Amino acid sequence: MAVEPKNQKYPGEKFIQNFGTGELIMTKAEDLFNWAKGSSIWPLTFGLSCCAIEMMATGASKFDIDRLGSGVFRASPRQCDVMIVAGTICVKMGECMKKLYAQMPEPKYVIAMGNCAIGGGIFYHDTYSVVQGTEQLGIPVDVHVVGCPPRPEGLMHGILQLKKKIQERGQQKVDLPEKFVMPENALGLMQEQLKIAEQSIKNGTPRPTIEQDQPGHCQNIQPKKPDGSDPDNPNI
Amino acid sequence: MDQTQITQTFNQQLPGAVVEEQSKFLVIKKESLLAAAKILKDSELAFQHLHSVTAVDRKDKIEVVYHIYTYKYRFMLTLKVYLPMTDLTIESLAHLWQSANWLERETYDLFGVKFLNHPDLRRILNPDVWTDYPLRKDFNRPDFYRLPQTEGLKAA
Repeated sequence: MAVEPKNQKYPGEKFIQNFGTGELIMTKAEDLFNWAKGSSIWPLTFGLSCCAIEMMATGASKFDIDRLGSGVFRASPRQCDVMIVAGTICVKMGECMKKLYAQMPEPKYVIAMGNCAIGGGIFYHDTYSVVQGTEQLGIPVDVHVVGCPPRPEGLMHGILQLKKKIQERGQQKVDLPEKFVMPENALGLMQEQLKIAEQSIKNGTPRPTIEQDQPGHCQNIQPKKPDGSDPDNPNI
Repeated sequence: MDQTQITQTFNQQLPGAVVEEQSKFLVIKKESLLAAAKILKDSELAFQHLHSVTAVDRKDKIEVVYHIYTYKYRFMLTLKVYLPMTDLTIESLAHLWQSANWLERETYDLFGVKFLNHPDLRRILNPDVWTDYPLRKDFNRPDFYRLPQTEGLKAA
Protein backbone atom coordinates (compact mmCIF):
# COMPACT_ATOMS: atom_id res chain seq x y z
CA MET A 1 0.00 0.00 0.00
CA ALA A 2 1.39 3.35 -1.12
CA VAL A 3 2.10 5.87 1.56
CA GLU A 4 1.74 9.49 0.55
CA PRO A 5 4.67 11.65 1.61
CA LYS A 6 3.82 14.29 4.18
CA ASN A 7 5.37 17.33 2.50
CA GLN A 8 4.06 16.73 -0.97
CA LYS A 9 3.26 19.87 -2.89
CA TYR A 10 0.26 19.69 -5.13
CA PRO A 11 -1.82 22.25 -6.96
CA GLY A 12 -4.50 23.87 -4.91
CA GLU A 13 -2.81 22.89 -1.69
CA LYS A 14 -3.21 26.30 -0.17
CA PHE A 15 -6.98 26.11 -0.45
CA ILE A 16 -7.30 22.99 1.67
CA GLN A 17 -7.74 23.44 5.36
CA ASN A 18 -7.46 20.69 7.91
CA PHE A 19 -10.10 20.15 10.50
CA GLY A 20 -10.13 17.52 13.14
CA THR A 21 -12.42 15.30 11.18
CA GLY A 22 -11.14 15.89 7.68
CA GLU A 23 -10.20 18.38 4.97
CA LEU A 24 -12.28 21.16 3.55
CA ILE A 25 -11.73 23.59 0.71
CA MET A 26 -12.41 27.15 1.81
CA THR A 27 -11.62 29.94 -0.62
CA LYS A 28 -12.97 32.85 -2.58
CA ALA A 29 -14.50 32.05 -5.93
CA GLU A 30 -12.08 34.51 -7.56
CA ASP A 31 -9.07 32.64 -6.20
CA LEU A 32 -10.48 29.33 -7.34
CA PHE A 33 -11.06 30.63 -10.86
CA ASN A 34 -7.58 32.10 -10.98
CA TRP A 35 -6.18 28.76 -9.91
CA ALA A 36 -8.08 27.09 -12.73
CA LYS A 37 -7.16 29.74 -15.32
CA GLY A 38 -3.45 29.14 -14.93
CA SER A 39 -3.73 25.56 -16.06
CA SER A 40 -5.13 26.33 -19.48
CA ILE A 41 -3.19 29.04 -21.26
CA TRP A 42 -3.79 28.77 -24.96
CA PRO A 43 -1.09 30.32 -27.14
CA LEU A 44 -1.47 31.98 -30.50
CA THR A 45 0.01 30.27 -33.55
CA PHE A 46 2.54 32.99 -34.11
CA GLY A 47 6.17 32.45 -34.99
CA LEU A 48 8.45 35.15 -36.33
CA SER A 49 11.81 33.46 -36.88
CA CYS A 50 14.15 30.83 -35.45
CA CYS A 51 12.62 30.89 -31.94
CA ALA A 52 9.46 29.60 -33.58
CA ILE A 53 11.30 26.37 -34.40
CA GLU A 54 12.01 25.90 -30.70
CA MET A 55 8.39 26.71 -29.98
CA MET A 56 7.32 24.00 -32.41
CA ALA A 57 9.75 21.58 -30.79
CA THR A 58 8.19 22.44 -27.44
CA GLY A 59 4.81 21.58 -28.89
CA ALA A 60 5.98 18.28 -30.33
CA SER A 61 6.03 14.94 -28.57
CA LYS A 62 9.51 15.00 -27.06
CA PHE A 63 8.89 18.03 -24.87
CA ASP A 64 5.10 18.13 -25.04
CA ILE A 65 3.74 21.50 -24.04
CA ASP A 66 0.37 19.80 -23.57
CA ARG A 67 1.41 18.75 -20.09
CA LEU A 68 1.13 22.38 -19.05
CA GLY A 69 -2.27 22.87 -20.65
CA SER A 70 -0.81 25.09 -23.38
CA GLY A 71 -0.86 22.66 -26.26
CA VAL A 72 -3.78 24.19 -28.09
CA PHE A 73 -2.19 26.59 -30.56
CA ARG A 74 -5.11 28.63 -31.81
CA ALA A 75 -5.12 29.99 -35.33
CA SER A 76 -7.22 33.01 -34.34
CA PRO A 77 -6.20 35.70 -31.86
CA ARG A 78 -9.80 35.83 -30.64
CA GLN A 79 -9.51 32.39 -29.05
CA CYS A 80 -6.20 32.56 -27.26
CA ASP A 81 -4.82 33.79 -23.95
CA VAL A 82 -1.11 34.25 -24.51
CA MET A 83 0.93 35.53 -27.40
CA ILE A 84 4.38 33.95 -27.51
CA VAL A 85 6.51 36.46 -29.41
CA ALA A 86 8.95 33.96 -30.88
CA GLY A 87 11.57 35.78 -32.88
CA THR A 88 12.81 38.98 -34.47
CA ILE A 89 10.22 41.71 -34.92
CA CYS A 90 10.59 43.60 -38.17
CA VAL A 91 9.06 47.03 -38.57
CA LYS A 92 6.47 45.74 -41.00
CA MET A 93 5.56 42.79 -38.76
CA GLY A 94 5.27 45.12 -35.77
CA GLU A 95 2.11 46.63 -37.21
CA CYS A 96 0.58 43.17 -37.64
CA MET A 97 1.60 42.28 -34.08
CA LYS A 98 -0.17 45.33 -32.69
CA LYS A 99 -3.28 44.35 -34.57
CA LEU A 100 -3.14 40.74 -33.35
CA TYR A 101 -2.61 41.84 -29.77
CA ALA A 102 -5.55 44.25 -29.98
CA GLN A 103 -7.75 41.42 -31.25
CA MET A 104 -7.00 39.10 -28.32
CA PRO A 105 -9.72 38.94 -25.67
CA GLU A 106 -8.86 39.97 -22.13
CA PRO A 107 -7.25 38.78 -19.93
CA LYS A 108 -4.30 38.56 -22.32
CA TYR A 109 -0.68 37.76 -21.62
CA VAL A 110 2.54 38.08 -23.58
CA ILE A 111 5.69 35.97 -23.36
CA ALA A 112 8.71 37.54 -25.06
CA MET A 113 10.72 34.53 -26.19
CA GLY A 114 14.36 35.02 -27.09
CA ASN A 115 16.70 37.98 -27.06
CA CYS A 116 15.31 39.60 -30.20
CA ALA A 117 11.83 39.81 -28.74
CA ILE A 118 13.22 41.11 -25.46
CA GLY A 119 15.47 43.87 -26.75
CA GLY A 120 16.68 43.45 -30.32
CA GLY A 121 19.19 40.68 -29.60
CA ILE A 122 21.87 40.37 -32.25
CA PHE A 123 20.08 43.10 -34.19
CA TYR A 124 20.82 45.65 -31.49
CA HIS A 125 23.50 47.43 -33.54
CA ASP A 126 23.56 48.58 -37.11
CA THR A 127 20.12 47.60 -38.30
CA TYR A 128 17.47 49.45 -40.22
CA SER A 129 14.38 47.30 -39.95
CA VAL A 130 14.31 45.55 -36.57
CA VAL A 131 12.16 46.75 -33.69
CA GLN A 132 14.21 46.76 -30.48
CA GLY A 133 11.97 44.53 -28.42
CA THR A 134 8.29 43.87 -27.87
CA GLU A 135 7.87 46.71 -25.40
CA GLN A 136 8.95 49.23 -28.05
CA LEU A 137 5.64 48.53 -29.74
CA GLY A 138 3.72 49.44 -26.59
CA ILE A 139 2.78 45.84 -25.86
CA PRO A 140 3.28 44.97 -22.16
CA VAL A 141 5.26 41.76 -21.57
CA ASP A 142 4.53 39.40 -18.67
CA VAL A 143 7.42 36.95 -18.91
CA HIS A 144 10.79 37.31 -20.65
CA VAL A 145 12.53 34.09 -21.67
CA VAL A 146 16.20 34.69 -22.44
CA GLY A 147 18.24 32.68 -24.90
CA CYS A 148 19.19 32.75 -28.56
CA PRO A 149 17.03 30.81 -29.06
CA PRO A 150 15.91 29.47 -25.67
CA ARG A 151 15.73 25.74 -25.21
CA PRO A 152 12.25 24.21 -25.03
CA GLU A 153 12.86 23.80 -21.30
CA GLY A 154 13.30 27.56 -21.13
CA LEU A 155 9.98 28.22 -22.82
CA MET A 156 8.28 25.71 -20.55
CA HIS A 157 9.79 27.43 -17.55
CA GLY A 158 8.42 30.70 -18.90
CA ILE A 159 4.95 29.22 -19.24
CA LEU A 160 5.19 27.86 -15.69
CA GLN A 161 6.21 31.31 -14.46
CA LEU A 162 3.21 32.79 -16.23
CA LYS A 163 1.02 30.13 -14.65
CA LYS A 164 2.39 31.01 -11.23
CA LYS A 165 1.79 34.68 -11.91
CA ILE A 166 -1.82 34.09 -12.87
CA GLN A 167 -2.51 31.72 -10.00
CA GLU A 168 -0.92 33.80 -7.30
CA ARG A 169 -1.70 37.33 -8.33
CA GLY A 170 -4.87 36.87 -10.34
CA GLN A 171 -5.92 39.23 -13.05
CA GLN A 172 -3.84 42.30 -12.65
CA LYS A 173 -4.92 45.69 -13.80
CA VAL A 174 -2.61 46.63 -16.64
CA ASP A 175 -2.71 50.12 -18.05
CA LEU A 176 -3.12 49.17 -21.66
CA PRO A 177 -2.96 51.86 -24.30
CA GLU A 178 -6.42 52.54 -25.61
CA LYS A 179 -5.70 50.94 -28.95
CA PHE A 180 -5.15 47.57 -27.27
CA VAL A 181 -8.39 47.51 -25.30
CA MET A 182 -11.22 45.52 -26.80
CA PRO A 183 -14.20 47.87 -27.21
CA GLU A 184 -17.51 46.97 -25.60
CA ASN A 185 -19.25 46.68 -28.95
CA ALA A 186 -16.56 44.51 -30.52
CA LEU A 187 -19.08 42.08 -31.99
CA GLY A 188 -21.04 44.93 -33.52
CA LEU A 189 -17.90 46.31 -35.12
CA MET A 190 -17.07 42.94 -36.64
CA GLN A 191 -20.56 42.63 -38.10
CA GLU A 192 -20.24 46.13 -39.48
CA GLN A 193 -16.98 45.22 -41.19
CA LEU A 194 -18.49 42.03 -42.59
CA LYS A 195 -21.41 43.99 -43.99
CA ILE A 196 -19.08 46.48 -45.67
CA ALA A 197 -17.05 43.63 -47.18
CA GLU A 198 -20.18 41.85 -48.44
CA GLN A 199 -21.49 44.97 -50.07
CA SER A 200 -18.18 45.75 -51.74
CA ILE A 201 -18.03 42.22 -53.16
CA LYS A 202 -21.62 42.46 -54.39
CA ASN A 203 -21.11 45.85 -56.02
CA GLY A 204 -17.68 45.05 -57.34
CA THR A 205 -16.18 48.09 -55.63
CA PRO A 206 -12.71 47.84 -54.06
CA ARG A 207 -12.45 46.82 -50.41
CA PRO A 208 -11.75 49.65 -47.97
CA THR A 209 -8.13 49.97 -46.97
CA ILE A 210 -6.88 48.91 -43.55
CA GLU A 211 -7.11 52.44 -42.25
CA GLN A 212 -10.76 52.74 -43.21
CA ASP A 213 -11.50 49.19 -42.11
CA GLN A 214 -10.96 49.91 -38.42
CA PRO A 215 -13.93 51.90 -37.15
CA GLY A 216 -14.33 53.16 -33.61
CA HIS A 217 -11.50 53.11 -31.13
CA CYS A 218 -10.39 49.70 -32.30
CA GLN A 219 -8.34 51.86 -34.62
CA ASN A 220 -4.81 50.75 -33.96
CA ILE A 221 -3.34 52.05 -37.19
CA GLN A 222 -3.45 55.79 -37.03
CA PRO A 223 -3.73 57.85 -40.19
CA LYS A 224 -0.44 58.66 -41.77
CA LYS A 225 0.85 62.18 -41.44
CA PRO A 226 1.00 64.15 -44.67
CA ASP A 227 4.80 64.07 -44.71
CA GLY A 228 4.71 60.27 -44.86
CA SER A 229 6.06 59.58 -41.37
CA ASP A 230 4.41 57.00 -39.16
CA PRO A 231 3.02 58.37 -35.87
CA ASP A 232 3.50 55.02 -34.10
CA ASN A 233 7.18 54.84 -34.96
CA PRO A 234 8.40 58.41 -35.08
CA ASN A 235 11.93 57.25 -35.81
CA ILE A 236 11.12 55.71 -39.13
CA MET B 1 30.99 25.15 -72.73
CA ASP B 2 32.58 28.34 -71.51
CA GLN B 3 32.03 32.04 -71.62
CA THR B 4 33.86 32.75 -74.85
CA GLN B 5 31.25 30.76 -76.76
CA ILE B 6 28.53 33.08 -75.43
CA THR B 7 30.59 36.13 -76.32
CA GLN B 8 30.95 34.81 -79.86
CA THR B 9 27.20 34.29 -80.09
CA PHE B 10 26.67 37.87 -79.03
CA ASN B 11 29.25 39.20 -81.45
CA GLN B 12 27.51 37.43 -84.32
CA GLN B 13 23.89 38.16 -83.47
CA LEU B 14 24.07 41.38 -81.47
CA PRO B 15 27.26 43.25 -82.27
CA GLY B 16 28.26 45.87 -79.74
CA ALA B 17 26.18 44.43 -76.91
CA VAL B 18 29.13 43.25 -74.81
CA VAL B 19 30.75 46.26 -73.19
CA GLU B 20 33.34 44.45 -71.16
CA GLU B 21 34.42 40.86 -70.73
CA GLN B 22 35.99 39.59 -67.56
CA SER B 23 36.96 36.05 -66.70
CA LYS B 24 33.95 35.64 -64.44
CA PHE B 25 31.27 37.84 -65.96
CA LEU B 26 30.01 39.70 -69.01
CA VAL B 27 28.93 43.31 -68.99
CA ILE B 28 26.05 44.04 -71.32
CA LYS B 29 25.02 47.41 -72.68
CA LYS B 30 21.89 48.63 -70.96
CA GLU B 31 19.88 49.15 -74.16
CA SER B 32 20.53 45.66 -75.48
CA LEU B 33 19.81 43.73 -72.29
CA LEU B 34 16.38 42.56 -73.38
CA ALA B 35 17.59 41.38 -76.78
CA ALA B 36 20.56 39.63 -75.18
CA ALA B 37 18.34 37.88 -72.65
CA LYS B 38 16.04 36.69 -75.42
CA ILE B 39 18.97 35.27 -77.33
CA LEU B 40 20.28 33.48 -74.24
CA LYS B 41 16.93 31.97 -73.41
CA ASP B 42 15.57 31.07 -76.84
CA SER B 43 18.71 30.02 -78.71
CA GLU B 44 20.18 26.55 -78.41
CA LEU B 45 22.12 27.73 -75.35
CA ALA B 46 18.83 27.31 -73.44
CA PHE B 47 19.42 29.40 -70.34
CA GLN B 48 16.17 28.39 -68.71
CA HIS B 49 16.75 29.36 -65.13
CA LEU B 50 17.24 32.80 -63.61
CA HIS B 51 18.95 32.22 -60.26
CA SER B 52 19.16 35.69 -58.85
CA VAL B 53 18.84 39.36 -59.58
CA THR B 54 20.73 41.67 -57.31
CA ALA B 55 22.75 44.86 -57.41
CA VAL B 56 26.00 46.34 -56.13
CA ASP B 57 26.38 49.98 -55.18
CA ARG B 58 29.74 51.33 -56.41
CA LYS B 59 28.90 54.90 -55.40
CA ASP B 60 29.42 56.30 -58.92
CA LYS B 61 27.30 53.60 -60.56
CA ILE B 62 25.05 50.71 -59.67
CA GLU B 63 25.74 47.29 -61.12
CA VAL B 64 22.72 45.06 -61.66
CA VAL B 65 23.80 41.43 -61.54
CA TYR B 66 21.97 38.48 -63.12
CA HIS B 67 22.87 34.85 -62.62
CA ILE B 68 21.38 32.56 -65.23
CA TYR B 69 21.84 28.84 -65.63
CA THR B 70 21.59 26.40 -68.50
CA TYR B 71 20.62 22.85 -67.67
CA LYS B 72 21.68 21.72 -71.13
CA TYR B 73 25.36 22.64 -70.70
CA ARG B 74 25.39 22.89 -66.90
CA PHE B 75 26.87 26.34 -67.00
CA MET B 76 26.09 29.42 -64.95
CA LEU B 77 26.58 32.81 -66.56
CA THR B 78 26.92 36.07 -64.68
CA LEU B 79 25.60 39.09 -66.53
CA LYS B 80 26.13 42.63 -65.36
CA VAL B 81 24.66 45.93 -66.42
CA TYR B 82 26.12 49.24 -65.31
CA LEU B 83 23.64 51.97 -64.47
CA PRO B 84 24.69 55.58 -63.85
CA MET B 85 23.33 57.05 -60.62
CA THR B 86 21.44 59.68 -62.62
CA ASP B 87 19.34 57.14 -64.53
CA LEU B 88 18.46 54.05 -62.52
CA THR B 89 16.04 52.44 -64.93
CA ILE B 90 16.40 49.11 -66.67
CA GLU B 91 14.19 46.83 -68.70
CA SER B 92 12.42 44.12 -66.70
CA LEU B 93 12.98 40.46 -67.55
CA ALA B 94 9.87 39.27 -65.73
CA HIS B 95 8.07 38.14 -68.86
CA LEU B 96 11.05 35.98 -69.90
CA TRP B 97 11.74 34.35 -66.54
CA GLN B 98 8.88 34.32 -64.02
CA SER B 99 11.32 34.21 -61.12
CA ALA B 100 12.50 37.70 -62.07
CA ASN B 101 9.24 39.16 -60.78
CA TRP B 102 9.99 38.99 -57.07
CA LEU B 103 13.76 39.24 -57.49
CA GLU B 104 13.37 42.54 -59.30
CA ARG B 105 10.93 43.76 -56.69
CA GLU B 106 13.55 42.97 -54.05
CA THR B 107 16.24 44.83 -55.99
CA TYR B 108 13.89 47.78 -56.33
CA ASP B 109 13.13 47.63 -52.61
CA LEU B 110 16.74 47.60 -51.46
CA PHE B 111 18.56 49.57 -54.19
CA GLY B 112 15.90 51.68 -55.88
CA VAL B 113 16.55 50.38 -59.38
CA LYS B 114 13.37 50.93 -61.39
CA PHE B 115 12.45 48.06 -63.71
CA LEU B 116 10.48 49.22 -66.72
CA ASN B 117 7.48 47.16 -67.84
CA HIS B 118 7.49 45.16 -64.61
CA PRO B 119 4.03 43.68 -63.92
CA ASP B 120 3.87 44.78 -60.28
CA LEU B 121 6.73 46.93 -59.09
CA ARG B 122 6.09 47.48 -55.37
CA ARG B 123 8.26 47.15 -52.30
CA ILE B 124 8.39 43.53 -51.24
CA LEU B 125 10.01 43.43 -47.80
CA ASN B 126 10.08 46.92 -46.33
CA PRO B 127 7.09 49.07 -45.37
CA ASP B 128 5.42 50.81 -48.29
CA VAL B 129 5.76 54.22 -46.68
CA TRP B 130 9.57 54.14 -46.79
CA THR B 131 11.06 56.39 -49.40
CA ASP B 132 14.75 55.44 -49.26
CA TYR B 133 16.68 52.31 -50.11
CA PRO B 134 18.52 50.49 -47.29
CA LEU B 135 21.38 48.85 -49.17
CA ARG B 136 22.61 52.02 -50.86
CA LYS B 137 25.97 53.25 -49.60
CA ASP B 138 24.57 56.69 -48.84
CA PHE B 139 21.68 55.26 -46.82
CA ASN B 140 21.67 56.74 -43.36
CA ARG B 141 19.14 56.71 -40.62
CA PRO B 142 21.02 57.74 -37.50
CA ASP B 143 17.91 58.15 -35.36
CA PHE B 144 16.94 54.58 -36.04
CA TYR B 145 20.03 52.48 -35.70
CA ARG B 146 23.04 52.77 -33.46
CA LEU B 147 26.55 51.78 -34.39
CA PRO B 148 28.85 49.94 -31.98
CA GLN B 149 31.40 52.78 -32.21
CA THR B 150 28.96 55.25 -30.71
CA GLU B 151 28.82 53.12 -27.57
CA GLY B 152 32.55 52.75 -27.26
CA LEU B 153 32.69 49.25 -28.70
CA LYS B 154 35.31 48.10 -31.17
CA ALA B 155 35.40 45.20 -33.53
CA ALA B 156 37.61 42.43 -32.20
